[in-house]
Amino acid sequence: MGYFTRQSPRRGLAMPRFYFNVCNGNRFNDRDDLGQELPDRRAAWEMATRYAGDSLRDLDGDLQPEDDWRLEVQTEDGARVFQISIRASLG
Amino acid sequence: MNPLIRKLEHFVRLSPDDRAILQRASTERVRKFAARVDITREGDQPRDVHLILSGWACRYKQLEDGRRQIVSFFLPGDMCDLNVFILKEMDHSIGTITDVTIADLSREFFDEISTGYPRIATALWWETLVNSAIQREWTMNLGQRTASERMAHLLCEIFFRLRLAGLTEGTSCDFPLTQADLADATGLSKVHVNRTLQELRAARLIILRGKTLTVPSLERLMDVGLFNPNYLHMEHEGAQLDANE
Repeated sequence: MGYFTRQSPRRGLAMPRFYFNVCNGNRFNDRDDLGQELPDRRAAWEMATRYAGDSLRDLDGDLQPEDDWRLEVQTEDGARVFQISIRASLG
Repeated sequence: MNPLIRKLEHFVRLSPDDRAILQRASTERVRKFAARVDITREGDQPRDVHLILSGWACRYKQLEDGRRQIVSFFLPGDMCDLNVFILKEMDHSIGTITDVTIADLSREFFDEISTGYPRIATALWWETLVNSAIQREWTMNLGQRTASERMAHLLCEIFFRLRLAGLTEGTSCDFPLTQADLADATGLSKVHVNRTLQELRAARLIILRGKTLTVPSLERLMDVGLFNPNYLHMEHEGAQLDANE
């Protein structure tokens, strides 16, 4: 077990694992291989909005017109729970 | 070596008398704390200055809903905080990260220092100023740096401070911080911390295995974090006060 695969102690109900994948048009595709254990979908949603906000800030001018930045949140079985997309366009 | 002596000697060369009194104070009132407990809480009345002898601790503030900001890390040789007993109550909490051993330094000890040991007194002022400089750098970190820059910067700072404390071995050091700690210190979500660490690992800037951090090239990590160690003021700036040994 490495540093990043710390397991929560089993206390009855295990926490579901969510995966936060980032895409930025064709230029950048970042799959989340490790995921994050969170109590429920609501927590995943909160985490996603926070992460999207912080990431958008860090794009720091790298957001081009017609860019299509997307954060997808998936559960362990690969189902997409929700996504946040940010579309930049001219005019 | 006594971590406080070691730390202050990055500022000025102490005399044998200086070292003797510091050694005495660092060994008289020693207490141990387990990992992940509070040494003191926001609202407590401060009485003694706590000198970290071993282990890692942190200064943090917490909102009622549980959101927490780690404001700084304490490593061996650090004092939380010089003259804190002047204040009526603590405006922040101090918690352990690992098992921690501290020495309690009393008001009387500092009175003795200020009347009889001017070199130490000045060195303690330096220590306070460096702590303020670290806070300013953390403000910059939270305000302006991107996630990767922030993380790289924090890791550089920790590595430099551990090296000053004699706690690194070549390019490696102990690293007991969890991703939650890093999230609380960098103001990033845990997901973002996770991704940022992965990025740094993929770029071979850091190796994190178990509780050990290895920095293959400190210079490269400094570049990524836009890190300039000047704010640590570790270049023997009190040399004109050096004791004639």
